[in-house]
Amino acid sequence: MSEGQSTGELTALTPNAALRALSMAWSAYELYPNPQQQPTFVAAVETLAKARDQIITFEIGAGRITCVDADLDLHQGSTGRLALRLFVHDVERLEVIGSPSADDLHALFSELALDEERVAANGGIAVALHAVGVGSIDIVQRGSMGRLIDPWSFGPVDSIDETVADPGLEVARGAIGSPEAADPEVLSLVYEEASAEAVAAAITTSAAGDVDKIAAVFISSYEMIHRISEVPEPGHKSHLERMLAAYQRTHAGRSPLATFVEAFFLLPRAAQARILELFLEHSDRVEYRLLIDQFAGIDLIELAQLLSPAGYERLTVYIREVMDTTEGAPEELLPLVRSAHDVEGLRIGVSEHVAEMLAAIESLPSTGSELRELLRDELRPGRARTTGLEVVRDLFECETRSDRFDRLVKSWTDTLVMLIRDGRIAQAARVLRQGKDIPEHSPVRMRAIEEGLAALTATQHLLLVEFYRDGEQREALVDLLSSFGVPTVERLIERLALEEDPSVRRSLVGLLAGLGRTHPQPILDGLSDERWYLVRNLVAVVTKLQSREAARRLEGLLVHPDDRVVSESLRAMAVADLERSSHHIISALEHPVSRVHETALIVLRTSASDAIDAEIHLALLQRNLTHEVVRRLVETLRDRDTVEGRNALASLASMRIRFRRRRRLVRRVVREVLGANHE
Amino acid sequence: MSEQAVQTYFRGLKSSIAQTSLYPSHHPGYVDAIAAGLAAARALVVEGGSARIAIKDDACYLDDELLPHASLAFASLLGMFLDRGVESMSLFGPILEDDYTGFVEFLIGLRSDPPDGGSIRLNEETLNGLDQSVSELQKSYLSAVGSLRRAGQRLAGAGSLELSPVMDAVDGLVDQSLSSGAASLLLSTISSHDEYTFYHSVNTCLIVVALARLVGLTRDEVVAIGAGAVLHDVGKVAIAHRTLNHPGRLSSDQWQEISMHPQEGAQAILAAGGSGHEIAAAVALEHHVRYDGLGYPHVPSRKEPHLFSSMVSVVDVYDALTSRRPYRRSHTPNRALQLLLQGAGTAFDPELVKLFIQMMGIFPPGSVLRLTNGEIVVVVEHGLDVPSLKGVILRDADGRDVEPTVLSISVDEVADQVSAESVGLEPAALINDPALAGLFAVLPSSRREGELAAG
Repeated sequence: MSEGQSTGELTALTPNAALRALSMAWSAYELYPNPQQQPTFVAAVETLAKARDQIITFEIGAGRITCVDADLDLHQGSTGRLALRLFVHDVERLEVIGSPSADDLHALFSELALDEERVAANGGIAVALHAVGVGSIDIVQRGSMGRLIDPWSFGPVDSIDETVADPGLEVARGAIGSPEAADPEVLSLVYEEASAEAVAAAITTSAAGDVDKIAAVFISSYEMIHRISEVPEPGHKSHLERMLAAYQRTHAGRSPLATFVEAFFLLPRAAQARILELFLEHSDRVEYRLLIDQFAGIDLIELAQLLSPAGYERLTVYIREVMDTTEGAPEELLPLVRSAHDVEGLRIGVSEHVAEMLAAIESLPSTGSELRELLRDELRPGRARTTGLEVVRDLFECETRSDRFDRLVKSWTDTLVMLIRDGRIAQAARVLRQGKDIPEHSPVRMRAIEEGLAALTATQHLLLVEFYRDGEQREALVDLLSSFGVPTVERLIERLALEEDPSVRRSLVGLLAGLGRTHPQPILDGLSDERWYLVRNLVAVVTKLQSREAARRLEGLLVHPDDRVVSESLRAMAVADLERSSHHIISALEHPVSRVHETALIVLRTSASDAIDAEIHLALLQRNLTHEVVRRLVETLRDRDTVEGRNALASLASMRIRFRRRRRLVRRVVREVLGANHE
Repeated sequence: MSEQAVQTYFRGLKSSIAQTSLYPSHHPGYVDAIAAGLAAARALVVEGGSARIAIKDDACYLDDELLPHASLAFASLLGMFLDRGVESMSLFGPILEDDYTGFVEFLIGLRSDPPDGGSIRLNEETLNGLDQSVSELQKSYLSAVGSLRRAGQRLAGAGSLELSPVMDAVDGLVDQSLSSGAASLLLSTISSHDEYTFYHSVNTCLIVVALARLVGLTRDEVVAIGAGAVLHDVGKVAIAHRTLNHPGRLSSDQWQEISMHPQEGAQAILAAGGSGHEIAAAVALEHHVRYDGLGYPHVPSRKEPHLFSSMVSVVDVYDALTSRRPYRRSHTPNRALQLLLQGAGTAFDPELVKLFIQMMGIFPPGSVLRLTNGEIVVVVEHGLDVPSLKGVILRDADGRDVEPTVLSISVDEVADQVSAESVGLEPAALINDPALAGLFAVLPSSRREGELAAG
């Protein structure tokens, strides 16, 4: 049969095709969290779209679906599962009207997936679908099942309302608690070990074939068998007592249960349903429960369909108890219920179950004391610290949400602060590595980490200064902060610009000098800053760096408008590379600002370089120097007391000058410094 | 009247409180909740005509009788009573709807005055002779739940966790567990519908502590693992309540949200710092990582979870399976063990599963069994030799309640296992039964110390 069959110009949807589509969609819903995006679901919707103006009606039975218009192919597992869910939700009929949308199907399946009691408490699937405006799927539910078991109640099942009084059932119910109504003929057959067929025939004859009375006879006979001590009527008592005595003598107390069970299945089906209905209703009575326990699940499947809604519910409760589960409908569970002719059978079942479990347990490995030692190793204090580090690393690796990652960074940096505050710099370094040294970090994440670390330094700079001043952990701290990355250096530079406390600034200069060994660029870049006070401090950092490369970058600052910057630059250059910077130093001797030429003088005076004497000599000869500068230079030459210096002074003292005021000044100063001995 | 009736009443009251807080009076949710709560209140007084419930020292009493199970399971509701100054309530049948709704509105602050002189009267009678009290174990249990609740509130509000009160609570649980091992396993069967996470966490802790003791760890080591167990789900505080309790299938967004709770918890614990926080953080992060490395969260470089995390995983799953949830009913203990067995070697460490089942037994403490003679018993203890069980008979073959009687049971006598709910039993309530006092007697201190290996 093809998917559709032509009806004029339209291709109609066959019931089989519709059912397959519904089943496919249900299967997708079961498997995937986003079923509507699954190809099978989409294909199912497209198939159902062919229904157009059709109405396809499915009848729902116990684990089956039928259609009056067609024989349905029910071999698909998903069809069976769909049928079961519809059945446990008391769906009697499902109609596909036109073309259900994906949302319509999803709404139906969402309700089907829920606990059936919960859905029923809210009015059932039909109500739920109507509430969300689903019109393409019409549900007809079976009659009300009454108030269901309250899953949150610890008490017994509340009374379940009977919907329609069934007169026939009332006839049979009248036999409950009425053993006196037992038919002696039936009882004697049981006692005499007549065949089940004979007993069933006797019951049927006694009731004149009336189904309700058959049930009543069966029940009363069964009750009598189990309650012979409570027979009310003296006449019966004596008669039945005699029979029982004879039976017991003959059969040594063997239970006539088997006879009743076999006879039960030979009675008309309707009578069976009556009997089962009432036995379930009174299953708290041991003798009734005993009979039900004898049935195999397969025996009850057919009968389940004949029960009233209340009876079906009681069967559900019973089967779940038997199967030791709190879920599942009878149709799912009944096939699993093994037949048990007596309690011995049940006991075997439990014993087998236990044996199976024991065997499974035994097959598992066992390490004995090794387990304890492994655990103790994991829990020892030293190992616990490593565990914490591993957790940090794992968190950084597995966190995929950007906002959460930022929060993780914040939490991690807070931990670093705590460790630094406690003086545990080494531990802080380990924690830092766990978060930072992950090869999988993307550039974006690495930047976020470094920014987080930079934020730490910006807010905790006083703490860092304090530790830097401490001296003992200075190098460790510098190493730690160096690992923070470039943004940290940039942040500290900014902090340096804003800091008003000179002592803190000095410490920051020292700290930055330490960081500058690893990250010099931010410092060098900062030399272009418009804030002279920052530039001056950064020049001081460069001084401490003692880096020739860095010093070369200072040449441009020698023309800085701020003389303090110029002075500091000179000093830094001299410290880093005096030979290369001597020209600048000499030139600075002519700087109009005293601070600058004073710095140059100090550098020359304190320099240990042998070339300085020649430089000074040259400067005295060529430079346009003030009297004070000349004097200081001459004194420097004198105090250096080198051969070259002494020769320079002698040369200067005796040089012949004609029309050169500058040189005359130099000669005079040299003679003054050297004293009257030199004329 | 029974403790179950009071619990049903409390449950109805909680639902009424929740619905009244959310919805107007014409809303179906409100109408249904009030109807159910009112019915439960009426059921409480239908026989005796009146009922008196008092709250004192974390415990509640019905007509001077201690209700230990309700005291534990409804600790937050009792706290609400006390916050509103309600130390006792007297119910007189027939309960009027106006009195009931007025009481609910008073509890949530919609009314400033309590019901006056109607069928529900507050603080009218003082109850004397409250010489019963919950056991030390139950106090420790309550303390742990309370500590966890407060920690969770602080985490949700201030974004930070304070571990020391939780660690103190774990200390108490370890001590009590040591002295009342059988009772602690029974107590772990308790559950709460709307504070599931906290009770589940404490239950997991109790069982993990027992398992750790069985392995032979020192007290400090037991406390360390116990802390991890009690905090393993703390990350769920960050997850919306509606997602945690969503009935039915989770959407992919909801699943994604819930699957983040290990990271959330680990982060919060690391940030809190303090003694033992590293172990707890590892447990929080790893307790959903399977033995075969699957599970979540996915860590590319991870080799395998820590053994102590795997231990908590096994117990976590067991307690979750045996707890009732909004989206499914509970499994019986035996069924839960079967599921663990099925997952041994894939989801769970097989050695730990074996050890766990050996500790709990085929029918763990709290299992409700139907014997071949029809009697209903609750398992309270088992030997490591599986055929031997110790149980308490609670129902006879006709289903009538009987005086609790202790007996040894062989597996051959077991006809079936049933869920406690289906037969209306509360295994955890047994630890307060005076008739069973000897069964759960506190061990002498010398034996307690001897039970833990030297450090």
